[in-house]
Parts: sequence; structure tokens; C-alpha cells
Amino acid sequence: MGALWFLTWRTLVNSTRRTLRHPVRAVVFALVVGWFGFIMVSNLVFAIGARLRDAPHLPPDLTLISMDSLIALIMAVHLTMLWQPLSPWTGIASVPLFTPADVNFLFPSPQKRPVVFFFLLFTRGMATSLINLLILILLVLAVGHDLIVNALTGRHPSSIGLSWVYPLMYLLAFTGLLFAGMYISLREQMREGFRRRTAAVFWCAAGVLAGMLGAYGYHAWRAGYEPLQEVVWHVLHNPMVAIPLLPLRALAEAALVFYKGWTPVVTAGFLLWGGFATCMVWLLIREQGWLYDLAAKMSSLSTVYNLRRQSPAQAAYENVVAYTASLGSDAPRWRLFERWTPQGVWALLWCNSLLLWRMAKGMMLSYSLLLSMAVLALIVFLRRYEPETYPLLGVSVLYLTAFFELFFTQILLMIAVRRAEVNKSLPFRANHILWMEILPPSLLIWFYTTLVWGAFCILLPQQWEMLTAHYLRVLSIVPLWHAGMLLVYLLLPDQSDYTQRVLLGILLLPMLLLTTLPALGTWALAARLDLPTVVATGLMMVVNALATWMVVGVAASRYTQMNPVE
Amino acid sequence: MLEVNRLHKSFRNVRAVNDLSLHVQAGEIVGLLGPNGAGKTTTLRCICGILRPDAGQIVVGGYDLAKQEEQAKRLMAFIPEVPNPYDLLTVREHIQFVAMCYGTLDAFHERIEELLHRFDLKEKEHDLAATLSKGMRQKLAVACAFVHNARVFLCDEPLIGIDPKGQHELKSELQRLRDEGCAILVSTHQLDTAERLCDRVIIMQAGRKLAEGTLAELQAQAQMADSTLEQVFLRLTEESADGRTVVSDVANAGQ
Repeated sequence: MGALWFLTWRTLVNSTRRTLRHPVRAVVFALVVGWFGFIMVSNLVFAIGARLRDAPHLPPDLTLISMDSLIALIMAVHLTMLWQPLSPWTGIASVPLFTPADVNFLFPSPQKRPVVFFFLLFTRGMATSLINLLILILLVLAVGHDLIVNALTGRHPSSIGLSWVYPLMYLLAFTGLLFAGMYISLREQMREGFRRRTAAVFWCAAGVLAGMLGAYGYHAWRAGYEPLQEVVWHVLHNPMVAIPLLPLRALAEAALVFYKGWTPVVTAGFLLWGGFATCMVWLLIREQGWLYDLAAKMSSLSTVYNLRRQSPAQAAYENVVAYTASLGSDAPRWRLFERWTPQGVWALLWCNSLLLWRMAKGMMLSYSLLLSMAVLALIVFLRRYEPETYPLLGVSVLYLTAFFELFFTQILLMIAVRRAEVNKSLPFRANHILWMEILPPSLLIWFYTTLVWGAFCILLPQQWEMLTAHYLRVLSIVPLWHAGMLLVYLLLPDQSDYTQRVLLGILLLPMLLLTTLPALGTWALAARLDLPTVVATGLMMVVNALATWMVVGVAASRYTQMNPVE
Repeated sequence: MLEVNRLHKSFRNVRAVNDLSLHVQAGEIVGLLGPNGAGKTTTLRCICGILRPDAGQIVVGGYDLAKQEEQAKRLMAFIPEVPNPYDLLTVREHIQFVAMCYGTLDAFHERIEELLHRFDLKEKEHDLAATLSKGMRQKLAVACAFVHNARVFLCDEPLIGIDPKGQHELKSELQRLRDEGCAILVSTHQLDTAERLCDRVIIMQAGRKLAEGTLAELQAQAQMADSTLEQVFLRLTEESADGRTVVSDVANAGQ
């Protein structure tokens, strides 16, 4: 164990040192730490001041959002977050859980096999989990100041002493799911097809659950429940839905234990997640002889070197690059791209789009279905009550679709950074290469946004002009978002380095806000000058295009200098 | 010192190692030769406990690897083919970490300066492993193998990427270890090196042992007296490939 702690500690120390030795990263690090410290200290100072004055900052009866809606919202957030620890299941771990160094130096050593395996899995998986928690805490600290003060001053019924509840339950959930992902991978390695069968069972169950949610929601709506919060309450309290969703609900109630107090659901959550994690540990220990086999296999995809050599995606990419280098050859291609034979740098766009399609076609189909169902459900529910909100709803869904798609497309930017060494050897300018890197993910988001825009235009034909204006604005800002995120990735290219990963997680959201500022400024100016919608939209598109061009220029200079080792 | 009996290892439908038996005595260097994909690396990884064999027995210094894993591993040192050290440890920390893994921190304090000097790592002592060249990484991997008192050395292409001086140092070191009574199993594609360095060689192909013996015994088996190991190796592996083709043709004709 001592050796493992030494490895973890020295890795953290050296990671921080390396960040501080790089001038730009050191400044970013100082800013983030300074900001975090400022938020912490200011909150404490305000809290102590408030306690002394015993003055409420919020009216005790203030209700920003109903508790049931809040629970539903937090459950939905967890549903998206808890995919990450399951990533070994999908075979694509964004964070390296095991490295070739483990295989070469640690596994042949006389350290106990389960200790090594669980230690590495837990600490590296936990690093990712803590990054998520840290970002959440930062956001809560940034926006929830008054709520915290009220809790500290005793204005809320629950004690601040219960604040350990949520992190502990999150830890249990994360651990259980991470180990479950590993167990599925292990069984898959021992017997091909296990992963596919598990996925089939999972998706069937998810489909049945989604169907029940829809059916009970529709039933409640037909029964006259209103407004939407009532429908949500009714659905969440239906035993047929509540029981399968209990683990998620427990997490949501644990997150709100600060305000809501300890509930039986929290107790059930601890039992469920604790039991699940224990069960997964037991299953893995039963197969402990094969743990290193699995880790060795997983490690082969964790380095740039091996990624280039062994990843099917990277191999496909290099094949396509080789093809484009010998234009005119008739290598087999995807039917969708059959008639398009681009030359020069456009071949990179073709290549990247082809790879995106190959990597994400399954996910794209599932996402399209989910998105369509969600939009339809929203329309069905809201149509009856608040017709004046339809256009607002349409616009919100447009922006939210684009925004949430970024969670997926950012993986493509990470891959773009990984293949920089290959691309830099091509005879193209860096900014041209970067344009070709940000366009495919943008095309993906444009595709989904177009679906949403089309759906709302059909349902609200009288509002098509306003919807189209916003649709065009979304289209223009998406490449800018990607360019901004790519800049952050280029600044922090080594995702196996803890410090860089933490900084990346923290910086992505501010970068998105920063890149939204030009559009917001233009919108404010257009509103002040009372410009027609067409002119305002055109202006916003031009501003976004210019901002994208500038950010790509900055990113290009970084791209040419980037050395993942530095 | 090292005994492998009827080792089998498959990856799904691919038999990487098929019924392989070998032994390495104390004070002996045995070369493990074979074309790419012959199963050399898998064999070494099974022996050093990274991969679990599907069947077979591995005994190191009298300890059964399956039953007395810790004792068996304590006697072994592994030099990997691709040197991928922990990028965020310095050279010195890396060697220290390996020493801690084997519980030989005292030996580390005694030997670190000597190891750093012997493998030209002294100047890079406080550099992160991420910043090392491939050759220096290989030297680091070699230095790590020497930090504890191993009696069985498993070397997977240990000379690749190392400069001529480093290669000379490593070969001398392996010979010194042999003289001290260590057992050494070296996988290599460098047949001239194997010819000079190894007391015996084992030629593998498609996961099976094709031939085993000293150069003279292999020459006799291949009926190529006074030939080099390279010529013998090529003859034996080509014959084997032809043999498979013949068997395959006969089987097809039968169907």
C-alpha cells in the first residue's frame, strides 16, 4: 500500500509542479485557485456576518421552484452524470484507469492483486468523480450564496451537519457503477457477447421505464392535473415508476438533505447503493485472477502512442489520411460520402466527418430518438396550459439542444488534440486544420438543431420567422463554442495529468460563457437600437463568425507550439 | 530456477501460447526467438504474473506462481518491450517506487547512485519520465529491474531503442548476472545478439515451441552445420510454415 500511496502522492505533486512551470497554465491555475479561494472566504465571511446579525437573506416562505420539480431536475442531472463511471462498459474510457506503466512495473511486482486493482480503479475513478463534485460545489458556491447563508443561520429546518450525506451517497453510487462497468468488461473478455446482452437488457428496461413515465404522465395530464409540477409530482409518486427510480431519487434527496432533512428515501438510498457497490466488489474479487488481464487490455488504449497503434478509430483515421494523400485511389468509403471527393484541406473535413459518423452512429440514432420523444412530450404537456410560452419553449429547446450536445462533441475535440501529431505533419496551415476539426462536431449539432427547429416550425407555423432567427443564431454560435473549447483543450492537452484535468473541467464552462458574450453584446445592442429581427440576426451571425475566426487564430498558434509532454 | 509446464493462453479465439514448456536453469541465459505474433511477449507476461494462463504451471525458484504468487514475483524482474514509465514520476522517484513495490527500500538507498551512473541516468535524475527519450525510458526500465535482488530476469526485447554503449552495458550486466547464478530469459529479434549472448535458444511459432537447444543442436536439427543462428532460424520457421500449409492442403483435399 505504501508504494501505491507514494505513486499517487508524487503524481499529484509533480502534476502541480509541471502546471506551475508552464507560464500560461500557471496563470490559469492561479486564477482558478484565487477565484475558488475568494468564493470560499467571502461565503464564510458573509455567513459569519449573517449569523452575527441573525438577519435572513431570503424570506422563509420563498419558493423558487417546487420541491418535486427540483427533485425531478436533480434526478435528470444524475441520470446524465452517472454514465461516466460506467464508461468501461462501453469500452471507451475517457480517463485512463490503467496505464501501460502499471502493466510494466506494478503488475509484475509482489503487491497483492486485488489491492492494486481496486486502489488504482478507485483513486483514478475517484479523481474523475471528485472533479465533477468540485465543479458542482463551485457552481453552488457561486450561485447559491443566499441559500447557504440561510442554512447556516438556521432559517432552514435542516442542519448543516448533514452535508456529508450527499458526497457519501454519490461516492457509493459512483463506486458501484464503476465496478459494475469493470465487471461487465471482465465478463465480456471471458465470454464474447456478454456486453451486448447486458446492453440489450438495460435498454429494454430503460425503454419500459420511459414508456411508463410517458404513459403515467399522459394519464395524469388527461386526469386534469396542472400545472406541470402537479404532473411531475403525480408521476414521481406512482409506485410503478417510483420503485425503479428509487436509486436516482435517493441521490436527489441526499443532495437536498441540506434543506429537506433526512428522509426514509435517503436511508433506502444508502442501503441500495451500498449493497450494489458491495455486491460488485464481491463479484470482482471472485474473478481476481483475471483482473490484471482486464487492466492490461484497458491500458493499451490509454496512451497517445498506443492509441495511435491500437485504437480502431485511430487506425481508421490514419487509413483515411493515407487515402486522401493518394487522391484518386478508389478505397472503399461510406455510402453517405460516396459522391463527395474533396481535395486538399477539405479532405480532412471529409475524413473527420467520416470518423465521427463511424464512431457515433449508434449514439446519434439513440439521441435522435430521445430528443424527438422529449420534444414531443414537452409540446404535448405544455400545449394545453400555456400557449403563449410555445415560442419561448421552442427557442429554449433550440439553445438547450445545442448546449447539451456539447457534452458529447467535446470528446471529439479531445480526440482532435490527440491526433495533432499526425495532422501537424500534413501540408496544411494550422488554422485550416482547426477549422476542419471544429466543423464536424458543429455539423452534428446543426443536424439536431435543424430537427428541433423543423419540429417547432411544423407545430407553430405562425412563429416560423422568430424560430428561424434563433435557429440561425444557434447555428452561428456552435462553431464558436467548439473553437473556445478546443482552445482550452490545446492549453491543457494531457488528460492523464490530474491538474490539467481539473483545470479543464473548471475552465470549459467559463469559456462557453465567454464565447457567448459577443452574441449577447450584439443582442443587447440590437435591442437598444430596436433593429429588425433579420438585421439583428445577420449582425449576430457576422459577430459570431468573426469571433470564431479570431479564436481559431489564437488556437492555431497554440496548436503549432503544442507539445503534450511539456 | 524457472519452469514452465504446458502453458496455454488464448485471447478469445486466438491461441497465443499453445502447450509451451520450457525451463531456465540458474546461471543460464535462454533466448526466446520467433517471428512477430509467435507468442513471446504473452509467454513472458504470463510468467511474470501480468496475464493469467488458461492452463499450465509456472514455477519460479520452487514457488508455484498460481499458489505462491508473492514469493514467486519477489524473485523475478521484468524488462518490458515498450518502455512506458509513469510520466509524472521523476527518474529517481520511479526507481524508488519500484523498490517500494518489492519492499526493498534499503537496497534502493544503497544502490541508487550506482544504478543512475551505470545507466547514464544521473543527469536526468530529477526529470519527469514524460520528458525522456525512448532510449532513456528503456534505460530507466532496465534500472528498475536491477533495484531489487531478483534471481530470474525476464527481458522482452531489452535492447531496442538503447544506444550502442547502453546495449553493451546491458549485455555485460546480463552476463554478470548469469555468472552470479541468475536465470535469464530474453525475448529478441536480434539473432546475432542471441547467438553471442544466449547459452540456449527456444524458437517459437504460432504459440508453440518449434525447436530448443544450443546453436549446435539447432544446426543439427536443421541439418545446417556451420550455419549462423539466423540461417537456422529462417530454415526452421519456413519449414514449419510450409508444414502447416501441407497439413492444411491435405485437410482441404480430404473435405
